[in-house]
Order: sequence, then structure tokens, then C-alpha cells
Amino acid sequence: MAKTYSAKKADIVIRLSEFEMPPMQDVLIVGRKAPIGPEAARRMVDILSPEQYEIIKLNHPVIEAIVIRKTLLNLLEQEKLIEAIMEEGGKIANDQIIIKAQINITLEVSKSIEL
Amino acid sequence: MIKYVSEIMDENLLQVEPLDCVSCIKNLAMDKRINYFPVVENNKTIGVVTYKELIQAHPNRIAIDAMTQNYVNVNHEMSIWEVKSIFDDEQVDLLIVQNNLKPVGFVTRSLLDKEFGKHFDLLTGLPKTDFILYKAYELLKEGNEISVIFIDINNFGIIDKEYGHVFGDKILREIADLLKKNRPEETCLCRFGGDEFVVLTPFQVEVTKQVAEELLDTIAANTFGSGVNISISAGISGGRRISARVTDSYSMVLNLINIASLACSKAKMSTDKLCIEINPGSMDIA
Repeated sequence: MAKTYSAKKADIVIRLSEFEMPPMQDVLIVGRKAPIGPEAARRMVDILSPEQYEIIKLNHPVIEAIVIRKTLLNLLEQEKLIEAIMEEGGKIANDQIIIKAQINITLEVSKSIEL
Repeated sequence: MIKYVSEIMDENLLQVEPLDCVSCIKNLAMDKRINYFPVVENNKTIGVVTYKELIQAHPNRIAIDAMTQNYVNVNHEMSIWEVKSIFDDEQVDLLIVQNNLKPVGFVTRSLLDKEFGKHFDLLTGLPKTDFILYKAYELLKEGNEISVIFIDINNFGIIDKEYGHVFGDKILREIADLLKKNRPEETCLCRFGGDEFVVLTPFQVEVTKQVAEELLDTIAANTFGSGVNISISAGISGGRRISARVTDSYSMVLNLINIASLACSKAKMSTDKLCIEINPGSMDIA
């Protein structure tokens, strides 16, 4: 009678990377029926990075709110910034989704002075 | 007497924390058959999760992200008339009743409507006496004068017997409409009972007398069905307010109504059908 052999093995793949602090980027676009609401997102981040994010409630059919890094609002007017985010984010968002967005704002200032 | 919101509120609510998840609250709603969950943080009600939010919100959400702000907090000692004015003025369907900031019950628009069926006279559509008590309390609280006109239809018993009760009811409705349309805006009108009406005014007796005379003239000038002559008598009570504060305004106003009703009985015997009583007791009242 022939002997049977069975062999089990497991391959382990480890990916190491630095923990992102905070675990969200500059902006979260929160859908009205998303599993995590804007307040939950803000409180979560607040524990790790206190006082850095703000909720802006929107009067939008599918987007409930935008959770945004406060420093961005120091660089640009809130209205203009939200308009810019919604112009792009609003196209791909739906009421179930949470979208994270990275925003880089560069201010260019050029001045001439009299010599 | 005046009913307070605590007497009509539904106590079937359950306080939840802002971080409680919607699915947990949903389970509570199913198990305990509760539809209203005030969200309380630092001893303050910050929102309410109702069955509507439980249906709409994702089960993973926390209470603070599912709750509605579409409600008003009220004190448990608020009168139901004040509650009614909130529902009339605000676009809300829910009031959370609080005792020392703790939510102890709720009132919905439909619950209040059901209660108010008892406080309005079905025949004339006028409020009953407790409305006048509440309004008098409000006027006294604001430091106003008050006077009361007690109105009684002359020989109403005979009208009922001669023309029937259905006709009598028609007369009551007609008189109620005339009083409603012709009373000054600042006054309040209620059906006291039977063929009696009460008008509460924020005026001194002299001005109230003019109001009563105009109402008497209006009724006398009106042509009622079947050519029946209808007239009313009125008694007035009131006086200048001289006391610093009214402690039991309800019983005082009831006393004023009583004095006015006795004056009205006297007026029936007089030719001008109007009698004014300013008894010493009322000097402390209004």
C-alpha cells in the first residue's frame, strides 16, 4: 500500500510602512449614508491630532459634510475652497461613500519694489 | 385648571450617548419598543435619534452623526398652551421635555393635537376656559392690566324650547363668530359653557366697557335666522393692579370670572344689559 504525504505551508508577506499621522489626509468628503459620519471622523482624528480638523456641513443632495484640515482654511477662503473641492469631488461622490482628498495649496506672490 | 406639558408627555424615551452606534439603538428600539432617543452629552441634550433616523442612517454610524436637530427642548412646567404656540411658530414636530436639563419625556405634534381636542369647543371652535386662564397668567406676568367680560345670551333657554336645540346651536355658532370677528385683536375669547362666553382684555375697566358695549351693539344689530331677536348681557370685572406680584394668578382670574358672571346676572335685570363690578378683592388682582 502506497504511503501518502501531505505538506502544508504558509507564506508570510510583511509590508512595513510609517503610520500616517493623522490617518486621514487633508479632506474627507462624507456621503449622507456613509457608514462613518462627519462627527465620528472628526472625533477619531481629534484623539490623534487634536483641534486640527473642522466639519463643514453642506446643503447637498448626497454629500453631508466635508471634514477639512483647519490650516487649509487659513490659506484660502472657505467658500472658494469648498467650491473647488466639490467641483471635482462632487462628480465622483455618492451618498454611501467617503472620499479622502489630498490638497496642496501653493501661494505665489510676486512683488516689485522701487529702487 | 391649566395643564402642564408634563401631564400630557409620553415618557417612553431612552437617553443615549453620542458615541452609541445606530445598530445598538435600533436593537433597543426593537426590544423596548421605544421610538425616541435623546442624545445627551455632558448633561445636555444635543440631539434626538428618532425612528426616522434609525431607518435612514447607516447602522455603523454613531448617534451624534445620525441624530436630528429638528426639535425643541422645553421645561416640564411649561403649559400646554405655550407648547402649542411653539408648534405653531416653529417648524418642528417634536418637543423634548426636560426636568433639570434631563430629558423626561416627549411631545409630538399629533400627541398635542389629540390633547387639544379636549380644550376646544367642537360646536363653536372656540377654546375652553383654561385658555383664558393661561392668557391671563401671561398678561399678569408681563405686568399688564386685565379685565374680564362675561357674556350670556338672553333667554337662550326659551329659544331652545321654542325653536329647538339645533336652532339654538346655530345661534351659538353665529354669536361665537360675531364675537370672534368683532373683538379687538389684543383680547381673548373662550366659550365658558352653555350659552356663556368670556372675553379677557388687557385693558382697564373703562376701555373694557367700550369693548363690551360694541360687542353688545354688534349682536343687537345682527339679523339672526327665522327673524328671532337675539340679545346678550355682559358683566365686567377688573380693576387696577396694585399688588407687586401675582402668586396664584389662576385662582384670582377664576375669581374675576366669577365676579363678572355675577355682574352679568345683574345686567340681565337692567335695561342696558351691561353691568360693571370692581369689587375690593379685584383691586389686588389686576
